[in-house]
Amino acid sequence: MNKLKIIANGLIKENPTFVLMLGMCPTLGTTTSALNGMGMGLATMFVLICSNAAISSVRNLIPDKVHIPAYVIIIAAFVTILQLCMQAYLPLLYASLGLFIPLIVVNCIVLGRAEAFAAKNGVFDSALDGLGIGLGFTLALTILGAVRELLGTGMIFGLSVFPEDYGMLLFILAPGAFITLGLLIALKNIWFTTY
Amino acid sequence: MSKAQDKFWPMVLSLTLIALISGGLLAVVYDLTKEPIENSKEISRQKNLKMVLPEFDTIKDTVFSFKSYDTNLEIPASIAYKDGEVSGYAFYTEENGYGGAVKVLTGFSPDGTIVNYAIMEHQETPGLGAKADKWFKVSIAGGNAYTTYTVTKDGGNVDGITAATITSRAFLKAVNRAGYTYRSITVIEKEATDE
Repeated sequence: MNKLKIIANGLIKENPTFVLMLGMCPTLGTTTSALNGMGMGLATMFVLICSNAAISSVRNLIPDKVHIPAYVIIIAAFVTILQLCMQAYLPLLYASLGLFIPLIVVNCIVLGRAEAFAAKNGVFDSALDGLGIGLGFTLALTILGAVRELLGTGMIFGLSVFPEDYGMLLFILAPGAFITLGLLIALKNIWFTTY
Repeated sequence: MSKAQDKFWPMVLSLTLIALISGGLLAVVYDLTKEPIENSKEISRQKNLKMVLPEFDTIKDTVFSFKSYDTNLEIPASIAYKDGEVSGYAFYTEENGYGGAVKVLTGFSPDGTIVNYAIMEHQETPGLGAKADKWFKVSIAGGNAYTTYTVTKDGGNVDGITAATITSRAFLKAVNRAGYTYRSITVIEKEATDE
C-alpha cells in the first residue's frame, strides 16, 4: 500500500473520532479546551505509533489465543512510560491531563488498530498507521476542544476572543461535548456527501 | 516465519517474555525519570511558596503535630524567615474533592492574614473545579486565619465555583484547616514565651 495513503487513511477516511467513533471517553472528557484536546491527541499518537510498531514486530510470535492479553501488556507498558516521561518533563500538561493518561490503556482506538492493522502488516507500515490515526485523533480533539472552549469560555488556546461572562457553561460540561461532537460529525457528513 | 501455535507452552512462554521485557523496560524508565520528576515537583513547590508567602530569605520545612478533638493532626508546613525573623507560615493541607485529593498550600503572614494560596495537586474537572487555582483569589487572599470559610450555598461567606460545589467545599475545608493549624501553633508559641 502507498505510504501516504496509510497516513491519509487515518486522518480522513478512517478518522477515529468522526468516522470510526472510537475512543469516545477521552474525546468527550478531555476536550474542555483546545490545548487539552491537542495534548491528549498527541499522547495517544505516541502510544499508537509505539504499540503498533512493537505489536507488528512480535505478531508472529504470539499464539492467537493469548494475543489480547499480550497486546494489552505491550500497550500498558508504553502508556506507563509516557506517563512517567510527561510527569518528568511536561509537568503542566500532566497536571491538566493526569487523570486521562492511564486511561489510554483501555482506549479502544489503540487496541483496535493493533487488531485491525498491526497484527496483519509490517513494522514500518504499522508505525505509519499509528501516525495517521494519531494525527486524525489529534485533529479531531483539537477542533472539538477549540469549539467547546470558544463557546464555553470565549477563549481559544487560552487567548480571549470575547468576555468569559458571555460563555455558555453548557459547552464546558459533558452535554456540550455530545452536542458539539454530533454537530461536527453532521457537518463532516454534509461536506463529504456534497463534495 | 510460521505463526506460533495455540499450545500450552508457546502461550505461557510468549506471555511471560512479553511481561518480563515490559517490566524491565518500565524499571529502566522509572529509574531515569525519578530524579526529573522529583526536581519538577520541587521547582513547582518553590514557585508556590514564593507566591503564597511574604518576602523571605530562608525557608524551614517542618511538620506540626497536635491534637484536634480526638484526632491527631499532622500538618506539614514551611516557615519563612527574613533577617532571622519569622515572616510567614505556609501549611500543606488536603481534602477530598470531586476527583481525588485537592492539595492546597495556604500562606499566612505572622499576624494571621492569608497572603495567598496555591493548589499543589488536584484531579478536578478541567474548566470547572480546576478553576479553583484562580477563582478564590478574591475571597481568600487578604482574609485571615480566624475566619471559617464556607460556600454561600451552605449559608457561608464565599462564592463557590459555579457547578463545582464539591470542589469549592473541599478547597475551603483545606483552607480552614490551614487556618486552624495557624491558630493552634500561635497559641502553643504564646504559651511557650509566657512561661
